[in-house]
Amino acid sequence: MGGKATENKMINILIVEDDSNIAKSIEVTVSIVGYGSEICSDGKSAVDAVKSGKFDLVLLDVMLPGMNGFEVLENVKSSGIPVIFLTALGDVTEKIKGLRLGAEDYIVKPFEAMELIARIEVILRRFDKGASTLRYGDINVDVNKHKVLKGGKVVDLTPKEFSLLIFFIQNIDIAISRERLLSAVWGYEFEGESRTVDIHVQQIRKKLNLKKHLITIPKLGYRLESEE
Amino acid sequence: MKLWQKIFLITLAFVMIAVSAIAVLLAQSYFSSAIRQQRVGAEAQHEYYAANITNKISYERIKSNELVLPDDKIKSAITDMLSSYSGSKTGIAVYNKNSEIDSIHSDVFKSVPNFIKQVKNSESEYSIITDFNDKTYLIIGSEITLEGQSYYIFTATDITLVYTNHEIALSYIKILSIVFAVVTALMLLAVVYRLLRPLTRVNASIKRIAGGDYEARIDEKGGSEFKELASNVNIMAEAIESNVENLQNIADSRKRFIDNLAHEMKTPLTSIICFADILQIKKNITSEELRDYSGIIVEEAKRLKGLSEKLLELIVADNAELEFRDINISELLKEVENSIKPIIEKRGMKLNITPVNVIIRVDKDLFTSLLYNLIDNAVKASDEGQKIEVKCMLNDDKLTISITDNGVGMIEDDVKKITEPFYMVDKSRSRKAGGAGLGLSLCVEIVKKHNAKLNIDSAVGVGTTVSVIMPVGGGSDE
Repeated sequence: MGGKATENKMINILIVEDDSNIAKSIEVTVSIVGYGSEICSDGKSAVDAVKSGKFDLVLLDVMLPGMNGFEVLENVKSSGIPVIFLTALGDVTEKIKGLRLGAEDYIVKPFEAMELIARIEVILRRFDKGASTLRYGDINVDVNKHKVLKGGKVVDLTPKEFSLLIFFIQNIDIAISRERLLSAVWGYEFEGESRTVDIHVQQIRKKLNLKKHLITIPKLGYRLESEE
Repeated sequence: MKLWQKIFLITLAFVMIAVSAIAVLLAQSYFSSAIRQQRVGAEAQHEYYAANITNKISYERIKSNELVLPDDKIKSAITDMLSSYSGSKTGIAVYNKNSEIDSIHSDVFKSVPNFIKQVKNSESEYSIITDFNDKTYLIIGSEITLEGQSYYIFTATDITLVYTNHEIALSYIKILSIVFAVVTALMLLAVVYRLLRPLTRVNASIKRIAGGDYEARIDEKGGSEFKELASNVNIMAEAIESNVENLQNIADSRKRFIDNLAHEMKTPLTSIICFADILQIKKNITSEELRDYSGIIVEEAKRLKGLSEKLLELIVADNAELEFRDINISELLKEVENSIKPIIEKRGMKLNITPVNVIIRVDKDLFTSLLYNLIDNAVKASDEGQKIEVKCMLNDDKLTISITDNGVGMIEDDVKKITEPFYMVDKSRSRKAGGAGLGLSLCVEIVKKHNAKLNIDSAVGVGTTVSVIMPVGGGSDE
């Protein structure tokens, strides 16, 4: 798989899910963006796994055999690991219960792979576990200082172009739809047109000479291909 | 106005009116008899004076030896008589046709000139009661004949005391009435309160029941009417409680059904959507990964298909117009055996069917589905190579069809819940076997429609026997 190159150690995610196919789909999804993962199929072993301290984030199903997700969360709260609930219950009260117990987010099944990745990245950034410097070929990005260097030279990017670039580097080799880009960079409430995305992508291609790597996928969106 | 206030005020009013009326009537009758007595006394006295005057005149005439006593002598005789009575308190006056002859204590007579005129004109005895100078007098007037001439004698008796006594009696009655009213009121209040207290209790309990506390009951105490009321309210509360509980149970089981259905649908959907998305967005997918992921998508889609088919069956079983027909149970079992054979053979199992020749009245499609599901469950619970026994037993009018496996079995708690929709004892096991957790719910519905019973006996590690017990010769007549 392609290189998402960061200077941090690999992010490790614990997947607590009793349905083996769903667990597998999550495992494959997070592996696309370069995260490692382990699967637990019941509450008790999940608690033990979290306490081992190997994990940066927990994806926790609510309906588990033996010990349900809420109970697992209560048991691992003290460890301070961010937890995202996965559940088939779209019930608002359940959602509030989960968030009140200290979950960072709540994803209702069925979800799309991209949505899961986006939510995980938001939480990791919130916990400062994402990379602070990103590298793609000869491009170096300092996320905190908002600085982009190409071959050692500073390249001026507008804030939106900067966010878009980070999003592409974080999701290397993933085809991303214009809608997804709009909601990730411009925010969910933005009612803009996909033309806006196209203009910004063209600017990034021009400024960073990425014509060959940042490719258009017909009818879907764009993909930043891994360097070879 | 509240009931106790009404009862209290109305009763108090009636009692007071009755008591006062009786007291006043008594006082009045006492008063009348006192007046009558006074009158009798006064009349006697009047006649005594009149007789004395008549005798005195006769005596004077004899003494003077005259044939007729002259007017002046009559007058002086009368004056003598009256002066001898001046010690008495009675007023006396004597008139002739034209004028007064003499009188003592006579002021009162001046107040009744009309009465005097009346007596003079009618020549008979009359009496009148009149007030004079703060006193009450009984005046009696009558005609006497002295020496052939008409004279009129009037007496006035003081009867003030009778009136004063009457007034004192009346004021006593007033005071006594007030005291009596207060005492009666207090007693009435106590009695009415005691009598109506159960009503307050009943009311409070009804309020609690109306407020949603359906477990509230009333003590069945108090008068017989209240006991009846309380017991009726309790019966009502019980009916409400059980109805609400039934509704709550139905609502709960609906909610459980919907929650479980959502869960059972979303679980395969999650894998399908996630893997489909991965296939779309991931670059460089190896052919091995492609096979793997698409295989999962197909598998999960099949699971959804199985779920929707079972749901449909359940809906059909619930709503369908049943078509009852007489069918030999051995024929039915033969059909089921044929359709389930491939699965049995694939898993290297054995199916042993011991039929009897009995005609049962069933809906063929639904009953076949029932038997198929029960045998299918037995297959799912068994390991490869194990045996399944289907036996029929006729006992009086009841046919028992039992399906026995030597599979995993269940604990008692699972047996109780196993007929609930989506309940699966071992999720991963039953999913692998393609179950959606709806099979037994469907069976329960079908059994109900046939007026039959479903019995489940199970022991962990030993196996499970499911029996359908149904009346022979007719299903439901519904």
